[in-house]
Amino acid sequence: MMTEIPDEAALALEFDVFARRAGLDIPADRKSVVFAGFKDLRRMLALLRQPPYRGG
Amino acid sequence: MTAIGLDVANLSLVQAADAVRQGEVNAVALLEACLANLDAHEDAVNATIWVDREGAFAAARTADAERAAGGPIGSLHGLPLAHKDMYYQAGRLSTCGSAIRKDFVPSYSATVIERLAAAGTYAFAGLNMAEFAQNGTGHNRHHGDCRNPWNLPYITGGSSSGSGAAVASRFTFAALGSDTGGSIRLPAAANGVSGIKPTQTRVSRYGVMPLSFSADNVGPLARTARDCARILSVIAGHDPRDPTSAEMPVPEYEAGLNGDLRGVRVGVPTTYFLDDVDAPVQAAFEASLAVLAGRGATLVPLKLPLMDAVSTYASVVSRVEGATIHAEWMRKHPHDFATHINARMFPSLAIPATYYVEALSRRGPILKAFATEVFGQVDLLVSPTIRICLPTIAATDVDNGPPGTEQVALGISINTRPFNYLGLPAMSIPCGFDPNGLPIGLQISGRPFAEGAVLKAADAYQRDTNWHARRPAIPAA
Repeated sequence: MMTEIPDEAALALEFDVFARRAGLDIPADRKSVVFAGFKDLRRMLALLRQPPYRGG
Repeated sequence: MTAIGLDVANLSLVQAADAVRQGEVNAVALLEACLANLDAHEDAVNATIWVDREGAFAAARTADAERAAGGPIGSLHGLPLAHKDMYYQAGRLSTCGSAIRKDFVPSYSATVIERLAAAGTYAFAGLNMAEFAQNGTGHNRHHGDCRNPWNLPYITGGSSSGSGAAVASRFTFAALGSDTGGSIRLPAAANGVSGIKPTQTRVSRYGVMPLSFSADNVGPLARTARDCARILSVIAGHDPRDPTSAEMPVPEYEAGLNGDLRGVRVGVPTTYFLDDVDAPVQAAFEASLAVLAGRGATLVPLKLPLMDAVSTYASVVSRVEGATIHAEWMRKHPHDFATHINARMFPSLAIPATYYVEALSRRGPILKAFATEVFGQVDLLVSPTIRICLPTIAATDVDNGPPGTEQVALGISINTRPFNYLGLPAMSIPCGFDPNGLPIGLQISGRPFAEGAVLKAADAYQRDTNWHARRPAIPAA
């Protein structure tokens, strides 16, 4: 689930799968920075479920 | 011809335009004053990407000839302006602050550029900006970072970094910026100038580089709220070439600036906008409330609904849309982008479509809740534009800084971003200085299409303060 933050190894695997499916060839010298951005994004997306939205 | 006693370089846009109309100063003199400041300080500030002196003098001489001929002239006749280098002007370079578009010359002009030209202005320079408008600090790997004229090691804010710095440095009387998450208001606050993000759809975006079609806005930075009002009256309004532009009538915004805030209810947030705010910012903000109250406004403490969700939804929308626009270039030319843009845009392609649809579909209900719970009680909402004292360029250099630098950089826009998601008009005006001599901004927002009320409050504030009139003493580079 997107609300759960997996451990580092699982995130790295998730990132690799995402990059392959998106057809991205991320340069080696940019990979660590892009991965850091990916982890930040996952943390941000988890916020969408906290608090729950009860609007119409 | 320059009227004796007129400090031409220090005139506001309105003062300069009125002086031209009354024959007290000519267009060539205005341009010479701007270029003199640019020549003296551009090495220090780095606000421009290109300058067209020959074209500018030709335009200024034409403006003077038209004035001398005695026919009708526009409200901004003879004013030299410069704009964020993402406003297309036919036959002129528009780099968008990037390497990818370093040689891009569009074949058509943006509607707002044409409208400003019809009012008598001309554009003489393309201003520095964050690459593809993608950061709130003003860093730019390709054209060099724009530096804050008040204290050079510090950020100018972004992404309309050059627009804020150039107006503050008196290189130009006003500049267009763009605002997707704060990119007009942040440099306005950081440079001690006034800038307004209008209501979503208020101003045509035809011929303007897109970043997020749900959140992009066009608006001016200038030295005063009155200046912004005059420019907005020129550029706002429906454009058949931008079907998203609203068909709402455009008021004469200047006509409503009477300084009287009696009967105006101003909401003061008790949540979100003042969380973890730095003490000097808090002090300046509280002093600003007293000024507004002195003009007759009633201050109303307010708890705000759903702000954390709003902030996150705002990021989802702008990141998905921005990544979609740039995806092909990113895949083919990743090294042509700064590292921090790779770090932001590549992962954005991983945001599930359902999250994006959720963010868009809840925009309406959230705006409705905001309209009821906030603007059902008040006419305007105020907050600091930026919660913290400005950081240095080095401290927010995401490409070269330690882990965590990105969070510092992103924190700059935490107070501005929600108004892009909500589509509401919001303005920043200067309200003080921090211990490092850097400006502090006051953000004023209002109901949809209530730019008049926002500008009126900002102008009223500026009648009793002089923060907006101060000018940086720019050291050598």
